[in-house]
Amino acid sequence: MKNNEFSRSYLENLTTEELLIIADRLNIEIPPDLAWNFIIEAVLETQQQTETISRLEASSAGGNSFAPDAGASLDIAVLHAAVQLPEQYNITFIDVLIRDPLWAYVFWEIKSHDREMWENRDFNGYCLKITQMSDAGLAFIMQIPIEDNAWYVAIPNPAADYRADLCARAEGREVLLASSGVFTMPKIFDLRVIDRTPLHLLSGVEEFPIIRSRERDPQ
Amino acid sequence: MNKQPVISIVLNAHFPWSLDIPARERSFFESVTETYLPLLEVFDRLDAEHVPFHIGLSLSPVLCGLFSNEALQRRYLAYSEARIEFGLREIDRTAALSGETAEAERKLARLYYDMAIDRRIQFIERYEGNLLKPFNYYQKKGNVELLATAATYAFLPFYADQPEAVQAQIETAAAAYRFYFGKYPQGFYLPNLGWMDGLDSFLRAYNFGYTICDTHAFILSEPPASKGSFYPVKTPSGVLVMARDFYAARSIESRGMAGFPADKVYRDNRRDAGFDLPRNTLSVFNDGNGWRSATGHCYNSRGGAPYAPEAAATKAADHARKFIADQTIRLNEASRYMDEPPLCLCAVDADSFGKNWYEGTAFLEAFFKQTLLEETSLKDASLKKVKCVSPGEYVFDQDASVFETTIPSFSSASANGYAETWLDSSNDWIYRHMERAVERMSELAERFPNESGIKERALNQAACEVLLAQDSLLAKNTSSHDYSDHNAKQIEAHLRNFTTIYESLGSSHISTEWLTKLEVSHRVFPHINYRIFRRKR
Repeated sequence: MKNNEFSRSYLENLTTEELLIIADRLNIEIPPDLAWNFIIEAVLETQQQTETISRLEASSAGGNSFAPDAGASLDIAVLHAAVQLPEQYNITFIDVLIRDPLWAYVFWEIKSHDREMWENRDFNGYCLKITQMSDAGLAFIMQIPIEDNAWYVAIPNPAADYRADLCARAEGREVLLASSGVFTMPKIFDLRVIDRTPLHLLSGVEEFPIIRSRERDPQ
Repeated sequence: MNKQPVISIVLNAHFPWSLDIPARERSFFESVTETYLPLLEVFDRLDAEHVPFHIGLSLSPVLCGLFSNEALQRRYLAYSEARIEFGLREIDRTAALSGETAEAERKLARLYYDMAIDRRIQFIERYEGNLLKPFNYYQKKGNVELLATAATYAFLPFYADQPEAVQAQIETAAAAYRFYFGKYPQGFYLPNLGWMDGLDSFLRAYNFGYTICDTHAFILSEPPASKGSFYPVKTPSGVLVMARDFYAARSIESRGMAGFPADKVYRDNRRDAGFDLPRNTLSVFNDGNGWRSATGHCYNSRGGAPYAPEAAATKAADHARKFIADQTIRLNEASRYMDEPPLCLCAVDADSFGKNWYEGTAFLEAFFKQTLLEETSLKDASLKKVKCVSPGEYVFDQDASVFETTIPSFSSASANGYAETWLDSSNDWIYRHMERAVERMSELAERFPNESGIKERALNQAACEVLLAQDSLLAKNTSSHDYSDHNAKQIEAHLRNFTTIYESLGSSHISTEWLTKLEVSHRVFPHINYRIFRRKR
């Protein structure tokens, strides 16, 4: 635990009232009646996102009765494995997870041997190519920074099949490094085109709290 | 055809493996005290009063493992004794109070103390410490239909491209179900109602008869389900799918606090004495050194007034009547447009009744009693009365030739209807490692098909660690869940444990001591067999 952070275990010792004071000092807006455990989450999240904690330290130096307790750090009691998670698996791959009808999460890795091979040639970067399978001519290509290994990609047409390719641009050509499997984007909910039979209306079609087509509409 | 409308309630219960993390273990104990014991108490009372209740209940294999873990049962007993001790202290504390609300708090302190004693008796004497016994008892009596769900409640659409992962989740679940309940399940509860085209073939392969999706999966299905959420459909592989009723679930779920649980008369569980009292008064729970957590002593209603249990119980009964009336009107309206008996499938998290909505179990009890009454509170006497059955009873009572064949759309019951709860910047790091872990586990299962002794133990534990890492409650994004940092560390720990075993098998050396500790700590699935990760040929 860094010296100037509130640990979870320390926060879990405080009352709701004390947590609200801390939240207030961290300029966190806490909705009325937010549960105790969610106030803790809000404080922890804010700590991760900002450096405001140092300001709090300065203001609380003069006798704050619940300043961070350096001895209260909590290490999760998981069984300690001998190895860390690999930063790289040293394989070249690209995979896709569908998040919703609008977005897909594309992640990849290029093994170090391949990287060395391509980046030491007349190298012009890596790119992602998303191809709509039902219309082979329709593809869009995005240049990706060398250090990136994942992107959320906005997919243009719901209810269509796609494939993601990872390519290297070198020596004046585009070389395919890896391809994902074909993935099908879900159909998007659009009240303008959807059947609104009495049974569908009684099922709640007009009130579903789901992503709808208008969220693509720039208006 | 009998067109009597049907309401079917399905509760879904899961809890991540908790033995490593004290705060989560405490949360599990709260679920036992506030949800599962009160629920069983309602079942006992309905049974004693000969009320023929029918309900579906999905108990995840991990939860079954927690219920049947003897070490955890002993610790729960200690926790229930701490609640009794705390109740005594609260009686003393409130005796010294003065002011307008003092008398109300004194009465509540006495009530909570009595309930803490009752819960302990219920747990240890009536159920002998293992809650699976009474749930199984009611399954055998025909009151409760137990549904299976994925081994660790994994969000299955993310593994649709890795058949070994899906089959491992389902096969382990089916084996656990047989182990705990001695029979084959009919229904499969999709974790978070996460559905993707192709999952039905896995369910079919393991002989599941039906499953449940969210309503929009039906509306966006191909072709659209013409009867909306009011009637099951059949997938091309022959699995029957029912849709969760949007309105019924919305009125009961406490998420967003928009439905019945938001009523200002109900108990405000967020204002627990455990979050407001000085730390030394909570020492019975944590020896004065630990964290705060809920104590079950809540003195305020959601409206801010002192909590009045009698008024809240009356309101719960009122809400049960309103729920039946609302659904009866909708179902009768639906029956005008279809020839089959319309279904309202109300699928909600079990913690909606109890832990999240204190009076939820009173609501449920009133619901079952009310559906028995010949005369409901409906003003229109021409309406057909609803009956209440379990989902399996409903679906297998239908004419199999009339189900529409369609493919429900990719969907879930989480925020915005798809997968963003498990896929945003706070949790997307998981999947890179998870996919490799599944690949590596499959590779191990292929490479070591007939191992025994310590190598088999290591392989079984590796399979267990992969499954545990896939728990969708751990993977929820930080904005929708508490214990988010615990969750991330727990997933990482499972993946690291797996990686350690993987690398150890590669080098033909593994620490027996380390492995044994891991097995003791993560003994989740009694008969796990690592070969579930072999590729099907």
